[in-house]
Amino acid sequence: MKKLILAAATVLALGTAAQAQETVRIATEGAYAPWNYVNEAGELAGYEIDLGNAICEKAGLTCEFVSNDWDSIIPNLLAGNYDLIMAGMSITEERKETIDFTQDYFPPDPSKFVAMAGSDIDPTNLEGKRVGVQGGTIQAAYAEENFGSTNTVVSFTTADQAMADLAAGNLDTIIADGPYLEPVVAASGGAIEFVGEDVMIGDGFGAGIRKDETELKAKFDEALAALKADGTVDKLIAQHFEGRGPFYAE
Amino acid sequence: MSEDIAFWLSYLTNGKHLTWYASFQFTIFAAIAGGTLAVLFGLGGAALKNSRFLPLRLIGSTYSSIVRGVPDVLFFLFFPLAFEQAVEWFIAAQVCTPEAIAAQSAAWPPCREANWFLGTPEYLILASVSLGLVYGAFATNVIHGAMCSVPRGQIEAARAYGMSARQVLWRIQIRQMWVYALPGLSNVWMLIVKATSLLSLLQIADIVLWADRLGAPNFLPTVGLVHEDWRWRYYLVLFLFYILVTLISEKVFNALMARMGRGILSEARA
Repeated sequence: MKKLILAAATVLALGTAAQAQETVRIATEGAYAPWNYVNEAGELAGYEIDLGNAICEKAGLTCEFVSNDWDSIIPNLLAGNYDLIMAGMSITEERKETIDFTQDYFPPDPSKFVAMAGSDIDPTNLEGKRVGVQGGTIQAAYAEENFGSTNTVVSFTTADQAMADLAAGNLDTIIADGPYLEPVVAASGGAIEFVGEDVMIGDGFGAGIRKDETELKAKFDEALAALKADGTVDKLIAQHFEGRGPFYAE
Repeated sequence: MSEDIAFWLSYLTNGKHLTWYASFQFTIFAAIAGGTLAVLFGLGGAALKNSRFLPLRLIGSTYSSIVRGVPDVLFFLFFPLAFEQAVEWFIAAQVCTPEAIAAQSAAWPPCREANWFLGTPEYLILASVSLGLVYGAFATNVIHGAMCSVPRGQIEAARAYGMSARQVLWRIQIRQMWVYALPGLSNVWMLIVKATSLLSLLQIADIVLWADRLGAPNFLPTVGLVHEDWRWRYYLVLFLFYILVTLISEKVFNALMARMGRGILSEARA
């Protein structure tokens, strides 16, 4: 009986493993507009979904997007649940110790602070404040290092939850990616505003990949380079990020 | 006014909301599968606890006393991961060549071929088994107690009629113990129903995750309706759902009690 169960588990696992190699699975968060989000129709959409599909088409790969919470997105890549991460992830030295990155598909971009209008916050001189970040992001590490000793750094599962807490008056400021914050500030009708100086962290945004996947990485990089050269990447950036780019035009 | 109604109707039936409504199936499946497994594990555990063979008795009591103390959240995270790695370890022992192991740079799995892909269906099954294991320990205690509550005279009479040990167990003890077990099992069931709200921990896009995502403030017209923090409204719907489940469960358990107690209920209540 025991052997039977184990044999059945083996067949099941091998079956799914074989399937997994045919389609390339790309993980995204689905809660980080305009990078990736779930649209009204309940489907994943956003810059990275469009770009990922374009890259796969160029490289002749069959791809499928899956959603995974941000905080476990790297561990689950390493565990083999999917093959790539495209989730507004910044390329950093720290992350490079565990995973590889493809070329960047959005250049290095300053992180920004936001606060409720008229709140008189100075990010260079924070003390006793509540600073909101999305957990596991480059801004979270930055905030912990720079403000952690004299302020409270509050981590959220998604960036949207941090925004909700800022609006509810539970946070004094939030530090996050500019491309995420810009549409939020624009749509808030003056209720939320940028404060202080921007800070430069991270080396651009790229797709995360396991270190042993050299073949897939090469294919992906090649297709991405071609799409940068023919203007597709800039076109998608202009489409999803108002007033940004072109970044990769020759 | 009618425009308003049409707007809200289309908002509440857009694809994102439909996905949310559909995700209730995960919660319901996990509750029912988890509940069934909990009763099975409970019966097994109680049988072990009642065993005349000391080592088996020890296994039964260890299960019910130790697993009851482990927080369900912890077990929920621990069990699927541990099970996945155990399966992968087993497959690796069969299929991984030394070269493949040497070529693998990640710490786990040992080689690519040994990777077991876990999607929503797999996680859902593992979640149900986790629920069954944790709450089966509670059910073990409930059922063990109920079996001991069956009047001794009934068992002695059955033996006197010449029934074998197995017949006594199934026809007398287990048949009659439900009356004593059902009130306790209904408690265990409600705990399981509550614990189904943990599904999103296993990357299952369940009702809690969707309520959270739908309720989070939205600032971008391209993403959908621009609204502020509406999470409490969505959580309220979940409240109502769980209250509804509670009411239905109560009715079902009352009916079960009446069914199982036919002929013995008056004595048990006395």
